[in-house]
Amino acid sequence: MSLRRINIFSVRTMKEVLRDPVNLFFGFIFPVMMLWVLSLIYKQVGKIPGATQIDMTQMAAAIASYAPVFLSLFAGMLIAKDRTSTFLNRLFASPMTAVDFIMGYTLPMLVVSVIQSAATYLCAGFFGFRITIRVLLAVVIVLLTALMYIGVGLLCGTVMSDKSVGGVCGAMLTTVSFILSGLTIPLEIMGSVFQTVAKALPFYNAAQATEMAISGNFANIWPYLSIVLIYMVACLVAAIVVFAVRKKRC
Amino acid sequence: MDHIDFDVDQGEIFALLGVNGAGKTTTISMLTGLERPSSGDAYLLGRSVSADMQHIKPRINLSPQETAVAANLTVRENLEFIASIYGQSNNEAKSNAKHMMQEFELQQVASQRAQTLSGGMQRRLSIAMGLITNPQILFLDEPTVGLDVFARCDLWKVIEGLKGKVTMLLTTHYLEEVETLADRIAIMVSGHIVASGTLDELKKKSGKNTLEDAFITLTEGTR
Repeated sequence: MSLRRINIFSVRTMKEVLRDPVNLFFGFIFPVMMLWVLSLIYKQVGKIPGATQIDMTQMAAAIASYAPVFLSLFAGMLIAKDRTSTFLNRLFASPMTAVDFIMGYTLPMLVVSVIQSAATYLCAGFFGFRITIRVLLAVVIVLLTALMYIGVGLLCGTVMSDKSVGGVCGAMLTTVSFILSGLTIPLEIMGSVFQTVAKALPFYNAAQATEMAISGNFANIWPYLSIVLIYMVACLVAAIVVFAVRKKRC
Repeated sequence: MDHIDFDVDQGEIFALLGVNGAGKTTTISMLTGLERPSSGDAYLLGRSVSADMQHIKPRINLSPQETAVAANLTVRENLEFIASIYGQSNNEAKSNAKHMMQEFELQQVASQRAQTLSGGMQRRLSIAMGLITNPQILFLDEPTVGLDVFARCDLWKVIEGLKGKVTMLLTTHYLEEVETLADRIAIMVSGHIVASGTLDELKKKSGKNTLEDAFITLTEGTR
């Protein structure tokens, strides 16, 4: 492992991600657009008697915890393209180690996650969200969620083509996490089976843990966060093992 | 690969010639640490690829079969990036990148992203990325595949210019490329080396006057 090589590779990863206009749109503009559109929709919903209301705190928390799903796409696409263009072969033949690669792909994604969270909460401020010091804790929770998505991206990018990564991370994962986060479809109206599934998966729990942090309900963070952490560790370990095995074979 | 055995002298261009699937890229992959041999060993600069790859890696470089450049980095950034991960300081990397861009006539496109370059220019960049680390051995895997005749001739001139300065192991299935560039040649078929030597030695061995005829004669019955 070399800190200098990790830094050099991280800078390269960051440039690759930020110079792609599609990444910029989905990484930063899309979450803000969602916030704006959903705030307008729920303003109307609020006028319907008896309708379930989602306030701006819930919405900002849910979108901030959903936005890192795109990191799986960014990481997965980059690794898959590096593999298929044999750029990764060039690097595997260099003095770079497996740790250099994993850190170099992961750290820039965490920076993107922090920027995403900051953009989401700042924009939520324009729609009535009250920004407090508790947002910092929420950013940390979103970072842990981001690590889980980065693990998924590393794993998919290591074993799949860039087209398959686009399908799995770009279409399937973004849709499933959006629906099961409870952001647009409240869990209460889903039925018991879907509720059980949603509560067993990390998406709803990530949104709830973030919301608990923002609303100052600290005692209730852990039950939700613990489920996210289980998925995060599982995804990261799987990604690291598969990447290291692939590199060792090389 | 099955019991292949050859040696390459310092500063020479050694060509592995064979049709697709002959085992040329696999040989390079084993020599650069990208694949592990199931048995046997190879020695680069006197060190074993099975035991001493960490010592070997900083001293060799590879230009893979695909262009293998970072698509969204500029030409200059690609060069500085590779130089830096091989341990060059920022100043060294900048200075060497400038030198490589002059050598490979890439100054005009220095600030252009690699993905916007033509195939020929991407190949030039790829080889420049292989050379910026001052390797003692450079592996060139099918360096001119997919290039038009002009880009191929340009690249041959570049590779010829390196003769004597860097030891190069080149894989190709183009006979004229071997005739133009290689000091010595090994002909591969299905993971075996069926003949090796200089161009004249191969012609003499086969009793033919051209490399094409020699290649057909020497590989006949082994395909």
